[in-house]
Amino acid sequence: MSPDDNQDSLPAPIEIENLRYHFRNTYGLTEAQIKKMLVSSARSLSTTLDQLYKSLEKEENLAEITHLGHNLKGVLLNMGELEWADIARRLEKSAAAGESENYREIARSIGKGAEYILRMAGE
Amino acid sequence: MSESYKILVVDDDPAQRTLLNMCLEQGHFKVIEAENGSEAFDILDREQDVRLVITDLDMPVMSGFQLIRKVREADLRYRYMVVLTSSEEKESLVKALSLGADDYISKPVMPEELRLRVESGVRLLRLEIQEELILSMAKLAEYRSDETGYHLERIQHYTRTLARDLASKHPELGISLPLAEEFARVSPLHDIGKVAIPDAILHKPGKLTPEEFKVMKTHAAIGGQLLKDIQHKSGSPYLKVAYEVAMFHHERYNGKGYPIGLKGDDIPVAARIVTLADMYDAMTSERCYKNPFSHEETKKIIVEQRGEHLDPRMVDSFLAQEDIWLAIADRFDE
Repeated sequence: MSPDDNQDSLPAPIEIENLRYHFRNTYGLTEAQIKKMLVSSARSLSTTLDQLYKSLEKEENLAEITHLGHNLKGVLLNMGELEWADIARRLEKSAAAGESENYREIARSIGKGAEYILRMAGE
Repeated sequence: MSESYKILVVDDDPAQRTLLNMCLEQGHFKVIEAENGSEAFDILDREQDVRLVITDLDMPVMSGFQLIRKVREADLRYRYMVVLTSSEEKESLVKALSLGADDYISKPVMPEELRLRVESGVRLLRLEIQEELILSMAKLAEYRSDETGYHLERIQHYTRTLARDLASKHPELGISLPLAEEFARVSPLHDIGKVAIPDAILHKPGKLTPEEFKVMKTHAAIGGQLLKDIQHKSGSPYLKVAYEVAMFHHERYNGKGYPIGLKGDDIPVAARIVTLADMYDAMTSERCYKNPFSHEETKKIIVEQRGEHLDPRMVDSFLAQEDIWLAIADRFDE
């Protein structure tokens, strides 16, 4: 896959209100717990994306990209962001299969899609 | 139902740990977190009361696979281990299960599925606790009688030795190696019915009168009935074998035993095995009413009872493994 080819096919950006709804309705969390999960998810996403960007600045380490793609997928699944998780899953699978992809662009797309939630990582 | 259980959540992603923690605390579990397998193993080694583990597989330092292997290899209390996996990771799942994981849960974790998986683990751990309780009852019964020291340990080892040998030499008996182990595990329960025998009879230094002997003989049926009642309530196959051992270990191959007078192969095979184990141990041990017999004296009596009191196949197996029996007696000497 390559987001370069078809930017329009990317999922809608991750909305905080959708995340709140997901944590409240799927997991029955209280408002305080939802706040904690938003911050915790933001930090996990931020840490993993930073590691991915750093990894991609060096010579491509496909094993590391696979691992980080796997972690991204897990965080996004828990957030209920299934379409974004699917992009992370494809990144993981492509790297695991040793395929030549524009991994930087895929990582940037995920970072852009997660822009709002990533702002909570510093809270 | 599960207030007392502690669950260890192992994942390198703090958000995943936090989410699992919140879901599990809704079910009144106490959650402990670790960020990799190494940290988790240290916790399990230190905190024996952590009985449930939910672990990710792909982690730095020590993976979930390595953790499962290490926990199963170490001589720790049994831990119910659930692995976190995604639906497309079938190979990883099979590997984890083959290393000793008990169950799995797919990501993203759904609270209802998590609750059901964890409750399965709690049920299994409860069965284990019931088993431990029953074996403790056997110990209590042993303390009341004069069969102190290592009597139960010796019985277990004699039973295991005999059952394993019979499993290889006599397939018609239907003993598999796991079944041989089960016979050994339940063998300490054979005299559990003695808890109901009055002290004056149980500890009498001399020979019992016919009336007293009649009372003493009731211990087999009492123990058997007790275990049968528990077995009916729990449905545990383990307790069915325990019942057979307690109920029928005083039956004789020639049909002249008690409490029923079963004959030959009508006597459950586990009971026939424990009969010989118990007879050998009783004769070679000191009791309040007798000095111990030597191995040779005991062997002579056992051979005389071949086909009478004892199943001939049991006697032949005993004779073929005399050295092992002597080594067990020596190892657990009082």
